[in-house]
Amino acid sequence: MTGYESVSLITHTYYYRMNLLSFEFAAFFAALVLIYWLLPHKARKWVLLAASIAFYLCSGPKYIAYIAAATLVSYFCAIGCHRTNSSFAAVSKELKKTLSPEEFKARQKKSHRRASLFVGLALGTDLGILAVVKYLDFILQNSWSLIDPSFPGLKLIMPLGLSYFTFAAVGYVIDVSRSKYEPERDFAKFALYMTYFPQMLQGPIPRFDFMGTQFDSEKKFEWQSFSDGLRLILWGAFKMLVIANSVAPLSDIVKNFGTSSSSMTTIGGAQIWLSMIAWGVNLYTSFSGGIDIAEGVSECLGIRMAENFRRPYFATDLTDYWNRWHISLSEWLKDYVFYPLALSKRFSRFSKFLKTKFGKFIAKTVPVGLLSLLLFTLVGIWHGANWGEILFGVFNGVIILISTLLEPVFVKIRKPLKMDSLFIWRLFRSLRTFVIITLTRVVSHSASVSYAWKFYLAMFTYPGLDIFGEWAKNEAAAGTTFIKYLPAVIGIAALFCVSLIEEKSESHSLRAILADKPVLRIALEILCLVSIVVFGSYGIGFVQSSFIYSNY
Amino acid sequence: MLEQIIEILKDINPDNDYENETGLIDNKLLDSFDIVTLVGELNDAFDITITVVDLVPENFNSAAAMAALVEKLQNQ
Repeated sequence: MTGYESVSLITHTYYYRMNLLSFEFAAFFAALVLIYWLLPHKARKWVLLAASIAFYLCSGPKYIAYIAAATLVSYFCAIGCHRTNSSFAAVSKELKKTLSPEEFKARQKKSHRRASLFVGLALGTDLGILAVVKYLDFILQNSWSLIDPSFPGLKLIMPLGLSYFTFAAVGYVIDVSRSKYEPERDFAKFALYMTYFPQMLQGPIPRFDFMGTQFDSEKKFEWQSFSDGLRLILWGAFKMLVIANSVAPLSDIVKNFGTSSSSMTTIGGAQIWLSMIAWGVNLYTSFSGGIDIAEGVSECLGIRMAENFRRPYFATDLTDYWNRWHISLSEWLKDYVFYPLALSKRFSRFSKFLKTKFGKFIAKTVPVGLLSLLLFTLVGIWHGANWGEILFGVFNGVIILISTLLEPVFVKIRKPLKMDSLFIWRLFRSLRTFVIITLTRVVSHSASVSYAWKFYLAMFTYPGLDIFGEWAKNEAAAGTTFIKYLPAVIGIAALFCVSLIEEKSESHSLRAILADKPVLRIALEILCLVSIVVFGSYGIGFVQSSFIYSNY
Repeated sequence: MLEQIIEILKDINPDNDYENETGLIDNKLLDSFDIVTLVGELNDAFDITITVVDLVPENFNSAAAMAALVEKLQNQ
């Protein structure tokens, strides 16, 4: 395999992808930065668009058809929707005077229906592409295979950044239909919003009102901002190369058990716990590290992207965790799924019915709790078209629903004991949340759901006290020593310290803390760089385990 | 109007000082459960329709901000 081939988790088909941690990308980025800052402001948007399209073409020229279709349809439909709404608004005062209330309502309804047609066409196209490419195979595998067990599936290949550009398009069209902002007339700017290359691999999911203005604003090269971007890239690379890839073999114990990739025949509870904790570290450091690199690259171009992580493993409960993990996805689902449903008339009627029958508490918690369950099922579906991911979402939703319903009981216990102010209680809550999220991930990380049930059973009933078990014997036989994991352990300790400092500080940012400490900052940068060069894990293993969220 | 809004808020979540608090959303004193219930109650009490676009922290950070939102929607 060369530097930028990777394996699609969905289709098991090889395809090209430019990795943000490859020499090819470094050359691409250096050339782009030079051209971008040397050219005048007006040309920069075009440079970025050309670079984004070139980046996308590296993932396979034919896949550009999907993103092109989503971009074109969303662009024109948003304009169509806005024109319909504004032409009715322009005459509505006059119509109110001349028409009867019934006639006015009929005209208003007609206008709404026309605007909805544009929105429906855009959402149908955007979500239709997502549904067909990402989920049709899963649906057919689960239905058609009942009739024909030899059905091989469609094996469709996922275009790069499918979920990200779909959600970007859907959010934009809905915002325009809600008159949150006017549609973008400049097609190049809109196309750049859809294709902007740093967000293509792992997000964050962009919002037009946040990104669009930045593409337009006149920027001057500032060393401070540029060097901050480089530092973020360095930090992301440290997370990915020193930590994520080093712990990947441990996290793969559960993932590969029972498949042809693993030669293990037995596994104990302690090994499963160890592997799942390693998976928690791997997932966080590779995903947030990838986001750091993407955000750093973007910052070097003078464009800030939305925050996607806020130290999720310090969360005190599962709701708090989801407010800190993949923030752009949680916020997107809140704005475009949760609140529109929660504020609908039907939902309001349901709440009122529960209030009259069962009282205030049930009316407040049950409907919103059920919506949360739906939301987390969607989170699971978003993560992947397989039962493991869907169950992962459902587990999270059910736990949140139950904890919400039991909250008054918990409050009654906590209040007299004044537990909320105790450090030990805060620590316990964070550890508890980490354990819960680790447990919910077993089902999505195992090779199959049937294996997951066995793992759950073993985690609580069969400790298998030889913590490294058969895996360690295989590693030892292959000549691997545990010294190999020492850099990862030191890396995790460093990441924990940085996260703790950020969590405790007022600014919540290491960048702000080190702003007036240049000597310390340079020392840390050198340490980070040396660690990557000396301890970073490269090679085939790196390519396969990196950018975990790039297949969504 | 302000007193009525404070009453509604106290009924939903009695733990906050609604007369003086100006960071109900920013300081996470109201969660999504509270917000959904609050919107329903405000819609009914003042015969308005609060939409998703109105759900920004500036409109819900204090009882006074909510009163301003209600007034704006009533005048529309």
